[in-house]
Amino acid sequence: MSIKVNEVNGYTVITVETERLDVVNMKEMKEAMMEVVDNGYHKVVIDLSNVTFIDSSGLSVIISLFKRLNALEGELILCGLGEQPKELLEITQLIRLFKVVETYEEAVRS
Amino acid sequence: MRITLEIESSISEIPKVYDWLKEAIEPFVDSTLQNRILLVTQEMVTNAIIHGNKESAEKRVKISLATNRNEIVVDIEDEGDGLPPFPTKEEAQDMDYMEENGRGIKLAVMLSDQVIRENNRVTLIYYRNT
Repeated sequence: MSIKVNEVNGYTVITVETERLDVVNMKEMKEAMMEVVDNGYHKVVIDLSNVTFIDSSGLSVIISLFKRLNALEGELILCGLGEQPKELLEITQLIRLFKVVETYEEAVRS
Repeated sequence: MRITLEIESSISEIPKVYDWLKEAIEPFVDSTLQNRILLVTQEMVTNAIIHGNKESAEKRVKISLATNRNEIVVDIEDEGDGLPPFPTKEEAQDMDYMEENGRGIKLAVMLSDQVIRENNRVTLIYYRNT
């Protein structure tokens, strides 16, 4: 499986288990993450600490999840951003829009 | 140095390009510039496969890397009908990244020192001293 799902403090934590979130695995990733939301979990944390590379297709997976959760009045928190994912969110200015915290522990405390 | 890689028009070829390019630039490029070159090249190769060659089994994508003291130059060439116009750096900066279309091209313009579009070839130029 490319993601692992845990329940912590009322949050559903999706841990991406691959090093890359990109055009190669975007379809599989999007389906797996949307399934979590479709199962009624609307307070979602995406833990990206294993991910070293995201491209625009990977970004579109996160944007789709963000839009879906917004429509459902849910919440999306990103944590564990490495150098490249962080720069990508900064350059696209999406870092201002998404809730981003450093660690997984911080995310489920918020 | 000048090296070239030719791939089939399939998304499954993308990791091959990433690994090839990373191995080539890792010894002499800092991690920030490496990340930018890898990302933008992947965006342009994806475009070449999907929009240029329309994933045709008969068509190929050619990627070349050339370096000198001042620049790193990546060329991506497909066998399609040509590329659409690219935005300017100012236009790319003002674009809304929540919109689905054209994110890869915007990133190429934003993160490269120069982008040259010519028929079915795009040339990405990065200055080594910036």
